[in-house]
Amino acid sequence: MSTPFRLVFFLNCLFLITTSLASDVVKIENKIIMNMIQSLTHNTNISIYTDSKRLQKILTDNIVNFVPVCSDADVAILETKHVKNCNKLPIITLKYELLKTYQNSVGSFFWQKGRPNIVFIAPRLKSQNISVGSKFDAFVEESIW
Amino acid sequence: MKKYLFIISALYSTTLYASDDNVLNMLEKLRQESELHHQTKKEDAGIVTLYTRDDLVRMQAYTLNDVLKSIPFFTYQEGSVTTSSIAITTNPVSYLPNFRLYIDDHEVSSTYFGTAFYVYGDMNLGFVDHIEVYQGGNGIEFGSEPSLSTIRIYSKTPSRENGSQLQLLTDNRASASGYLYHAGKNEDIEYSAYVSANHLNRDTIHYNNNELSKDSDKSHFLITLKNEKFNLLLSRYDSLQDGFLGLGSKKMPTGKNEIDKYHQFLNASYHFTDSLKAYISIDDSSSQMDFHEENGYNQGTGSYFRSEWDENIYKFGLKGDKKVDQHDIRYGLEFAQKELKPKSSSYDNISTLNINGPTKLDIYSLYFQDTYQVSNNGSLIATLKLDGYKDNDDADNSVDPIVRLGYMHRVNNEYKAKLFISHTYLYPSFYYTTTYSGRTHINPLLNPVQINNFITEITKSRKNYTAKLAIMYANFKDGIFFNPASKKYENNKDSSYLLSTSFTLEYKFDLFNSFYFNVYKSENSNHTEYSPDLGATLRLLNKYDKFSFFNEVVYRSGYVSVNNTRIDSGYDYSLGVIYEYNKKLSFNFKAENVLDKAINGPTTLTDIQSSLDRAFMFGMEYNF
Repeated sequence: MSTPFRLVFFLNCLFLITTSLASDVVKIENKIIMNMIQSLTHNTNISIYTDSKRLQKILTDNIVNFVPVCSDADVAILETKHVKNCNKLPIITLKYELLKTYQNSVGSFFWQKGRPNIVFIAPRLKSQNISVGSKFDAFVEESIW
Repeated sequence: MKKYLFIISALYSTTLYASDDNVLNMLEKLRQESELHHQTKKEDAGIVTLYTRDDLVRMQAYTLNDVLKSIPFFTYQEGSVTTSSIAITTNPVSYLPNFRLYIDDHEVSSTYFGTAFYVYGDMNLGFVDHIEVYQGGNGIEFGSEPSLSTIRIYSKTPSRENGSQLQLLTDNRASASGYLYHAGKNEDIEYSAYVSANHLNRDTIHYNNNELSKDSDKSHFLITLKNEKFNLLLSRYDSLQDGFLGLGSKKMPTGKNEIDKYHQFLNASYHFTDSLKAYISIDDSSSQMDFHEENGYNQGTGSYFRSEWDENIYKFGLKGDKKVDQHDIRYGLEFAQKELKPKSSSYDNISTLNINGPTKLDIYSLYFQDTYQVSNNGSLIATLKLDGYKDNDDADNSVDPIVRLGYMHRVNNEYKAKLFISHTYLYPSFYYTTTYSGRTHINPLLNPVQINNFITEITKSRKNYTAKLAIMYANFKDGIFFNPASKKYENNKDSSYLLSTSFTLEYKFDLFNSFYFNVYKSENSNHTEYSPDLGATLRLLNKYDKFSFFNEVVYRSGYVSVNNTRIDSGYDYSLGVIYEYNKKLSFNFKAENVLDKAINGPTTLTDIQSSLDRAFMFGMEYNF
């Protein structure tokens, strides 16, 4: 093996080792949220509105397109109250209590008791004709706590 | 070349697509990777034993003692007045302050006794996220006075709790304890409030027609507030503890025997930038002892002894870090003032208050550490700390240095090693230098214990397991001992050493099932074993459906105690089950020291002094 190739090999290994630990969290968060989004819409290009700056850094997939106005989005992902023009599309909240704030929110990805949680609310999914698929069966609940 | 291409592609595939599509597994993996200890654990601070959030929950670690009893190299013990302590393996120096204890960035300690466990041993852990135990280090990383070992307790992060928890617990002796915790985030401020109350009933011992009680009542109140710039921690801990063996020569306390104490503190810090912060803290504590014993006391005449004192600690300082090329520099300065305030001492209500020795100590500290990345796989660590001491008795005005050199090396993906050589010291607490109650053993002229320390640890990690081999060597000079001839604490001019070896294996069957095994063996130059020289812990954590299981065996070998009493070896087998009824409600059952074989404490009445009772606990936790 040539010296340049050894160097490339070494740098690749080093990059993977040093970045894997730090970025594992972001990768898994990305995967969970993308799974949730794709369970709500089958569009190949998904327009998303979010008020979370962190989420805009996490969702880097090519099929995701962030829009500046909620009414232009396929799905909204919200972490604060008082976001306007979001009442005609499915919403995923990043705080559980926001399920009570937004009547058209269908699910939540939130932290409680030191662990991440997912929940979908069955009547709200039904009212918007959404089926989240068997992958999320265990996370569908009949009502908000 | 194909081989190398295969390795690169395999690395990419395992790194990028490590988690499968099962949502439950993804959530569990995210929880594990996000655990707070990934941010707080300092590998360069010594040999680290970690109790993660998940460990503490599944072990049903209700109090700090549940953790203390399994720490490698140490043995959990209760003293004659049932205060908790942990004895270092083989105990080469008779009186050695073993541990420093931190809640977040605040050290909690008794100025008088020099140990936090006097107050905090059986503290409820409801507010705790995880616990890190550092051994063989010197505490410089935490800007504290030096210690051989450090326990860091980290509170839960409010933004990850988002809600309230209520836990209630009882046991086969009708003890009752519980806590209420609430946390959340409001705009930019994270906050939490925690209150716990414990009424603990222990085995009552019948001895010479007397009933000896270890029962206690504790309560704890803690508030945290933080935003980007500011951090506040406020805590008050109250404890009312039955006196058990008392302080009398015959160990037969009669009537009211109790220790009533509290410790409260405020710690505030302000971050000027991400890498520079200032902090200030105030500790205030008070203790009152009441002991009745018809047969009298060693130190004074009468049948009723009463003692009362307050303690204060004030600290302020600056901490910073800076990265320059390959150098990661940490620095800090601190001023601390410790004060002992004797209030009363009497036998049969006749005052014996007479202060001898220092009661106030000023400590000026300056430290600097450079971690230099010598290669992609190796780093050199150099540390210097200077502590200046000045007391109000003019007994000591000295500057004590701590020097440390270390090297950490990652050999490859599987192996890594670390090695530290240091010189440090342990300063005697007021208990050894000061009296106000007629104790004659004290010696205001005691020098600090000088310690030269060497530790190394080799770690092998694979996907499912981590194996660690650690060796600790410490050479002690000026160790503090009680000289029966002079009847005083004195420095031992002969040096002694402690050599300990430990092996640890952590194996994960999958995301939910794991075991932990540790064994250690020690020897010292005195060929004495004032505490166990051999210890082992085996812990199994399993999960099936809505049930979580815990099994643990902690073994400690027998030895001959300082007062020449033979202590038999013992093992504590504990088990627990948690049933998660739904997301909000769970039920717990735990059996501690099931076979009643745990090692006894080292008091003069060792045959009746077990440090751990056999207990069966039932509880519930409700999240809302």
